[in-house]
Amino acid sequence: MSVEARTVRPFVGIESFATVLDDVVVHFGNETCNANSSISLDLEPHEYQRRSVVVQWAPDEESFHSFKDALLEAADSMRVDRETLLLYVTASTPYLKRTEIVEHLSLAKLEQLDHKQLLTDGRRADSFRAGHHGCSLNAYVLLNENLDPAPLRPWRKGTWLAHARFGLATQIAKSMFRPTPLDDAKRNELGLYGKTVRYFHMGDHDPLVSYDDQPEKPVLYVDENLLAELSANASHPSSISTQLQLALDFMAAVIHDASRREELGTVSIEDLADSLLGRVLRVAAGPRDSDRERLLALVRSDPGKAVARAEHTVDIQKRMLQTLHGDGS
Amino acid sequence: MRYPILTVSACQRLADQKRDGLEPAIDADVSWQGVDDEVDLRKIELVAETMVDAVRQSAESADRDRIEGEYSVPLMVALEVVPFEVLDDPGFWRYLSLAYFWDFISWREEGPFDKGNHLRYVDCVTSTESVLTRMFLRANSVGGRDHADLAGALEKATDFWRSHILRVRTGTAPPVTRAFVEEQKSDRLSTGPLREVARSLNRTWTNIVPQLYTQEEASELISGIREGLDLTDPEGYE
Repeated sequence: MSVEARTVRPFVGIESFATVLDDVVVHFGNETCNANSSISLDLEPHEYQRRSVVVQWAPDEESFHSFKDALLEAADSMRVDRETLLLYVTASTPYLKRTEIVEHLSLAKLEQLDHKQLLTDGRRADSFRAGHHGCSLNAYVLLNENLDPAPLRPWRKGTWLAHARFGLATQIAKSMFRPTPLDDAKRNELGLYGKTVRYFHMGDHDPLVSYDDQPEKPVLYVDENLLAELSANASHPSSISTQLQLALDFMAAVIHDASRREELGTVSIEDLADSLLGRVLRVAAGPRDSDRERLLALVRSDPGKAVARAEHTVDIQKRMLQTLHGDGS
Repeated sequence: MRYPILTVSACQRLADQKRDGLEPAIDADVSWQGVDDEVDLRKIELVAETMVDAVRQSAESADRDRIEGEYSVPLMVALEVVPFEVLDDPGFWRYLSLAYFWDFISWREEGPFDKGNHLRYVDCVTSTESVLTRMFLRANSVGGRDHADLAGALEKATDFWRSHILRVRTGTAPPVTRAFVEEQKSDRLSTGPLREVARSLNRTWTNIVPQLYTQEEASELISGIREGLDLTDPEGYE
């Protein structure tokens, strides 16, 4: 039996920070990304490199004052020195895994914050030059030094109290399913058995939050010899049938993993837009929101039937029959 | 900047031919991206020659992961002339892999190459798997040329780098990576206990932003995690 010990945020006393970054938006040229969502950029890489990137902390000047007041009130309610807290923005790009700090300001100097902040003046961060893979921005309010440890209170330097994520995805960054060869060394390492042919490993990846923003991706291990044969005979019906089955295995594993997560009960299709489950729903149900809503409901109530729905879409039956009839040999 | 690329399909065809011992002409499949000056590949060519010479002279029992680590920083330094937007293009890495580094990559991944699983190490679709891109990530993860010694500091550490640094957030924070490497170097953990430390570290990043950590703070964090776990190695763990 496997036991999962997942970290939750066990803190009290930081409730005032919970929604403080919710109205922050990021402008990428003329396009706008809301907090905790992603936009898909249909841009050539050279266009991506020229776009301005602006973080706008509040919808207008008036609400910007309220935003700053809310931050300071939240800091005061936590009874920590404003010097201890930072407004902090990082930009990360997934392919070359570069994370840069593009803004940081102590809450004690909040009067210096501009309502709209240009992040592309001066040297352009690498993430804003990564036109093939896009980037994500993460805005935080976080502790800039250790506090005295206390139960249920955040105290360690770097702990975030508020967080908002902005995904700027390019079209090229959309692939999600790619089998990894399973050899004897990997079987030993994973505690598998000598004749294990496939094994899905989710690791610490959360299928309900942004796929690109998580360094650890799920892996579908497939026996190395089988994989080599599939590659060498890619267009043979039995190879196609097996590849479809592996894709279906991957989707089934994601669906079953997601179905066991408590948060699934509270997320919407919009929340899942850039997540692994969101992508699986798109593949399995198609582009219509209503179809994806129905499939999401099935993932919650009857994950086995959700997998069956995915199998219907993948339409593996025809290839299976071809294989059994010996076509294409 | 103008730079050469190979598509995935061209890469696959050419790689299959090279693996079969042929020497296909690559130029016909190369397309050029960008405008203005052409990228200067002379330093990259030189470092490739050095790497290929080194592996030709290496013993059969050589620690291939360690050699990969040792050359990762010279590779990164040679690539400093290449703009980041070019490095973000997998097609450029595919070109480098086939045009200059094939012999090194096929030596490094001799086992998978022999079995026909060579493509993932040269197609550069997944940056943590393909050899050149993962070398670049490894050099960056320790902080580049100022910490070159650390990239090859550990013996037989393929899984350490792949699973516990490059594929997780730890690898995006050089002080944390360095602290993790230093601890592993001075007090090597076997597979099971190492995985426990890495798992605990990965969970830490749920609540904590690693980029904020100084070297000293990162070292305290890593040693604190190690001290807080029961790291006895159960029978049969490794």
